[in-house]
Amino acid sequence: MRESTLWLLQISTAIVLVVAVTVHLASFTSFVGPGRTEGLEFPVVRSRVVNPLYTVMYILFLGAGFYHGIYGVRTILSELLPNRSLRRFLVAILVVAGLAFFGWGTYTVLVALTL
Amino acid sequence: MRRRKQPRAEDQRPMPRNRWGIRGWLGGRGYRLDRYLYTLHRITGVGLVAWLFLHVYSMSYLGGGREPFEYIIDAYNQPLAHLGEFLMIAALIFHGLNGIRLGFLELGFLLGRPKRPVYPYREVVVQKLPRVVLLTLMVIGGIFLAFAAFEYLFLL
Repeated sequence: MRESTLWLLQISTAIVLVVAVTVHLASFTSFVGPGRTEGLEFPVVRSRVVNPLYTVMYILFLGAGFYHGIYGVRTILSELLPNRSLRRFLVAILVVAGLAFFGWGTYTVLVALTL
Repeated sequence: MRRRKQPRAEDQRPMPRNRWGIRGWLGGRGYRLDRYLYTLHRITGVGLVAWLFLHVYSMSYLGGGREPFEYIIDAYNQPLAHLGEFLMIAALIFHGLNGIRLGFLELGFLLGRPKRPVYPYREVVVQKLPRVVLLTLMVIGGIFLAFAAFEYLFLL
């Protein structure tokens, strides 16, 4: 994929993350939501995660978060490591770990629908 | 007929060495506030990536039902964990707001009118508007940070 496409995706995921993080944090802060203590109680969390809209939001949130983060770390590695092979190896590890955790998170979100 | 792939520039000459490495993040010639904000943006970004992996692991307990979830939430209800959560939210606020500022700069909205490059080349662009936007974002960030400190350090 071209670098310009990857960069465009980086900006797009940043916009998605600004919205998703705001909604996610607002769901358990005192000022716009029930508060941290109440917001993290099991019945309150369950009422959120069984909503299919939240499921879609969380999956998008996970995908955008991992892409944005791993692309950022890739940028840092490309500046700090002149050795291309080592850089590619480390980025490959990050991508595999990111995909694995994205799959794990998506599985958790889908299982939570059945709670 | 298959088109021959053009050789890349980096294959034809050695890549320039980054002599300073991470040391260069801490200071260098001509560094101003924007450069240090960029350094902090990178540091908070790496921290947030690490936290994201940890968060996916800890929230996977939700799939096990009520008891595993309450076990992991109890693990987060420690003073040190509250401090960690506050630092994570502070990093999120900074990274997000600075990212918005960088996004505007990237799209050319805050650059202003360019000046003629005359020695000693102190300012290439008119920089009042970016400073005003930066100050506004810092005030917004400070307000959110105060809310987060109240929530995570005093209420709990």
